[in-house]
Amino acid sequence: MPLDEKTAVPTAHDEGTGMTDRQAKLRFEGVHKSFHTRRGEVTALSPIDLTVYQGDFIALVGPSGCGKSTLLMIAAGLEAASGGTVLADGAPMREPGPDRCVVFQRFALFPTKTVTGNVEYGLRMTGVPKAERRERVRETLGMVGLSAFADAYPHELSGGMQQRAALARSIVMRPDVLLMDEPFGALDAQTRIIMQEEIARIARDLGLTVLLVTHSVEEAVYLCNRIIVLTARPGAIKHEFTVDDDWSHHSVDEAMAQPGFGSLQRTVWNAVREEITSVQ
Amino acid sequence: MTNVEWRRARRRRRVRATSVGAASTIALAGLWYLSTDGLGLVSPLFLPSPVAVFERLIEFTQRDYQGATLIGHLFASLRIVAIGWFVAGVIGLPLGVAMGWSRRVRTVVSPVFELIRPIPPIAWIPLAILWFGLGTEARVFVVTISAVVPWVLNSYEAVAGVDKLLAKASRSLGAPSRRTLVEVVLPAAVPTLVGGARIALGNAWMTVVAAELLGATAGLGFVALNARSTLDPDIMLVAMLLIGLLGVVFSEGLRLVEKRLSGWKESAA
Ligand SMILES: Nc1ncnc2c1ncn2[C@@H]1O[C@H](COP(=O)(O)OP(=O)(O)OP(=O)(O)O)[C@@H](O)[C@H]1O
Ligand SMILES: [Mg+2]
Repeated sequence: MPLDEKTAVPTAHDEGTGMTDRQAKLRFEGVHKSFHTRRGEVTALSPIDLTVYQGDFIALVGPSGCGKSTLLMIAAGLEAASGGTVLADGAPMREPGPDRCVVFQRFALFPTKTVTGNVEYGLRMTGVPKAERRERVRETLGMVGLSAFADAYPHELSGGMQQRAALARSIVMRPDVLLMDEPFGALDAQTRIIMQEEIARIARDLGLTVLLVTHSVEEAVYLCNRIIVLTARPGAIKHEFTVDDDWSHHSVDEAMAQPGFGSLQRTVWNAVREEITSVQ
Repeated sequence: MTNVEWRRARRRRRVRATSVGAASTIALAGLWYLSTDGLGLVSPLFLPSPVAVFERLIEFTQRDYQGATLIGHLFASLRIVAIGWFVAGVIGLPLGVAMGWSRRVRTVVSPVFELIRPIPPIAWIPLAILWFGLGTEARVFVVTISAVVPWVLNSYEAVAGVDKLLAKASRSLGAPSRRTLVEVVLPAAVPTLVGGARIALGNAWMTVVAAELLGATAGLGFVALNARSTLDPDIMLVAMLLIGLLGVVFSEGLRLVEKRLSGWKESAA
């Protein structure tokens, strides 16, 4: 793909889908990673080439230990790649930054700060003036349904609410790419469904670009327009599926009742299963 | 269990613990009374009766013993402890935090620290005399040494024990390393830091008695030591009981502070 794609001008008749705008937000070029451990060198990731475009909602699925989290941490700048380059908005990046916020499975809310303190944090660190901060925090808490809990401490919230707060803390920064590592993995099944529907709505409303690591093929099919299946370790891109229908306009149970949803889910799952069984 | 039931159960547990503690203290005092005044099993020169000790305590608040009243001796000891504890904190807190935060500092400091750590504070007395002679400085030095180890260790563990994911989240939200330490890591470390301050104060207070071997002319330790040579076991026990009592007061006081500062924590709710 030509490198000058980042300069592509969004088309004027973008009708709110974000799909016609193909600006490259994040690009992995031959990114690979090995860890030095006591048992020697472990290759976690084979060279990965992947471009995340504006408005993409991409799922990374694959067997446990194939390097999904590692890839995400490299994108965040929290882990250094062993080789290759990551381009954020066209420029090589190394440092972590709020243009690539992370939502972690374990929430990682700051326990000594209230919900407001948590959500405000990134704005404060990047020098956003107080009045604007207050307004953006208020708006974002409304968006994730946490307005009533603005002054609560994380330990006073349920798991679902904690993840809403963590989500708010990231999206308030309006990141170029939102990185999520199994964000709903720690939630119970009912809460997970609600959160999936909410993140779909929020991503649509804000035109977010998302890179999502998940174990759930169902979640991937429901939320994403692209699904990347990684091979068993060392992770390489096995196959990329394109989700043609936007299921996220429906509720999860409605979407799952559609024949097209189930057949794609099965196709993707078979690809994942091949990789899982290849190790056993 | 609901939250309310749980709190109620906790209160019941606490009341029970307090009453058992009170009962055992009273029993011990009773035993002490019986073996001295009560049945006269031991001579008052060996172990004075609680009544004699209490009377002596009252008298001591008004009349001088070895140049000062109780208050004078108390403040002499407190001053040494306060200075030593504070100096140890000024050195130990930043050092421990730096060790917990930076692997480089840890690599450089750890070996030296591990070597110094097992040396008991009293073993520093000869060096203290050599460096400072017999005087206040030598006493402060020994007390400082005794307090610096828990300051360093707890500060180190407090910082190193904070979930690494929090620092990652902070940096991902645009905070540089220094601000991540100040904004996220240190606040989460506060309860353990105060715990270190508490243990340091306990150590300092215990060591002041030994330090008052070093040419002291006042202080509770000095009183206890002097009472032996003047064959005055009443005042010796007065001094010892006061040392014990104040130790408890310091410890519980800082425990309260610790609790206050961990209001964001589940366990302290
Ligand atoms: N800090 C590290 N040191 C050594 N090896 C590591 C480290 N982090 C990850 N690995 C290894 O790299 C591989 C990929 O890990 P990673 O966490 O990225 O997998 P994952 O796909 O996210 O797995 P899961 O689905 O279970 O979360 C694993 O084999 C893991 O053991
Ligand atoms: Mg993972």
